[in-house]
Amino acid sequence: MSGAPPSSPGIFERALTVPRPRAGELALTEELGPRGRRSVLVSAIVSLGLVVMAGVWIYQRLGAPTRLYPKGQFEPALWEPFKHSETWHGLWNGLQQTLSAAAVGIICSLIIGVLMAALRHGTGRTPIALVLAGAAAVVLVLLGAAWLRGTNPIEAFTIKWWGYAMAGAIVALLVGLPRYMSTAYVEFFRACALVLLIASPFRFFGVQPWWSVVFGLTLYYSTTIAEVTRSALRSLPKGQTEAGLAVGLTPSQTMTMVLLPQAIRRALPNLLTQTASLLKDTSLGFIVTFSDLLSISQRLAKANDNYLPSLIVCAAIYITVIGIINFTANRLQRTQR
Amino acid sequence: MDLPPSNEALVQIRGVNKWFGQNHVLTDIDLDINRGEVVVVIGPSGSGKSTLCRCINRLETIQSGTITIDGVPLPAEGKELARLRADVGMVFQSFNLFAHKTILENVMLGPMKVRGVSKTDAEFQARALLERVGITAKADQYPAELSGGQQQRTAIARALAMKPKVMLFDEPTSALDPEMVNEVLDVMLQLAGLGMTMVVVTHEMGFARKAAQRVVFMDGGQLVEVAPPDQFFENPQTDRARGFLSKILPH
Repeated sequence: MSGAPPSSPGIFERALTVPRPRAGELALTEELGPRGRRSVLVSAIVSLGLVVMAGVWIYQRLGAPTRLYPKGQFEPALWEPFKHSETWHGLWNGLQQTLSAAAVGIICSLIIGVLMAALRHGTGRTPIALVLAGAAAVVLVLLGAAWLRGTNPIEAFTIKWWGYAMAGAIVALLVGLPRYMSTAYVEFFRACALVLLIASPFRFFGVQPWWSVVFGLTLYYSTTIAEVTRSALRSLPKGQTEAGLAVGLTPSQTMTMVLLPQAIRRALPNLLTQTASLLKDTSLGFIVTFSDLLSISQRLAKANDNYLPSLIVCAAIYITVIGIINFTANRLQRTQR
Repeated sequence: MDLPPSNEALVQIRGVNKWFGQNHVLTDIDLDINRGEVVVVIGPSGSGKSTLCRCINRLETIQSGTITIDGVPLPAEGKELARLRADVGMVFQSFNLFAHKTILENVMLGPMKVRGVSKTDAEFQARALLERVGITAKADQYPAELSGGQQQRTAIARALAMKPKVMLFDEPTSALDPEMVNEVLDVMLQLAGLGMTMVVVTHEMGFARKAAQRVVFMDGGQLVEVAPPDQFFENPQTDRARGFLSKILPH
């Protein structure tokens, strides 16, 4: 009997079935049988129902009149401020601060992190050119940021002389003892609370808030990026190094031309997680009076006495931005393969 | 007068010893490899034959003895070592093509970054080499998209692109499916016919008979027997060689 092909699943059914692995992907799941499909369907419906119930309950609780908000927190009047352009202007300013600090922070973290990973993975002999190129790149990025922000870089970097002495000492030690120093750097700054790293430049060196946030984020996230990159380096087959050396590349050429490109590709999903996380952590800048998106939202909320609507708008902006990052990241990864 | 006399051996291995911890993997190795000669190294696994091969371009270090290539002792490090490695082609058991580069780029990388050849020249040369090993059609694909045999032929082209003085083959066919062994051996035979100096660690006795001028039999980290293939296979002089051959030769 020939007959029609088995009926293709409807939209609802398709949404509920475990996706089949794409070609080249390994999935732990096998295709479900009839009993499995039924239980997936039942549990999906039950949990969806629970989520809807929870949502309704939260909405009613928050919308219920209280002493502070006699008409509930979803009262249309509380959304009124979002009709005015000044509100959006303020939020836009905050978003700019958040995004610019995050962008400069992630660029510097990537440069320093990848460099640290390379030093720690290497032979123990310093690729001096690589270290100097990394340091120069970071300085250039910071100078560029100063220029874009219209701050006098000398003013922006008003670090006390011992701050410069410390930075110089770190570079010098990196050149002299690459493995120990990169390990020490990573272990030390990774163990520091991020709040402390953001607050210190502001408190002890008199650095301006935006710069303080960038320095703090860079110190911390360069260590997590170093570890992510290093684990990717370690996951590469030993044969890649040997092939590079056998062709006649020097160890540092092998690192930059053979190992790092592959390691960064492998680390990409983790690096993007770090990027999103860094972006959100700019909000810790409130401790150094940094006017980022969250602190501006809170200021607006206080002024307009509409905490819930303000924070919902603020959250929506964060979610949108991070959604855009994730989306482009996924696109990027797919085209890479 | 600085030129080494042309009858001097291209690779001279003298009194080489190597330990992995307590394990004495190479014991007093003496071996000369002449220009244009094909030397096949055979022996049971763990006999040190791969290690010996890897010592020649210093992927493994030795604890005593000397290795000289074209009159120059193996440098210990730095640019000199990299330059020497550029003159010694190596083909690995597991191919080790650069996974993030296309077949063509794999062959171009060394000449461009090590020899300073221009991109156009490197590409021209790479395409010619790929044609010689029979993979022209795959030039723009990535290693993962090729069969083992094709990858290994690419690896040979990559090594040849450096115009090496000597080629080392470290079990080049051991990781291949049986039907792909011959395509790689054919390329190697062709290379031997062109007068390339080759050191080949292999289990392919047919290749040893056809291409080798000398067969080196290793066991327990020692050179047990060095002889022309006919003599070695027909009339081995040592018990260890006889024992090994009786285990691997067809009944």
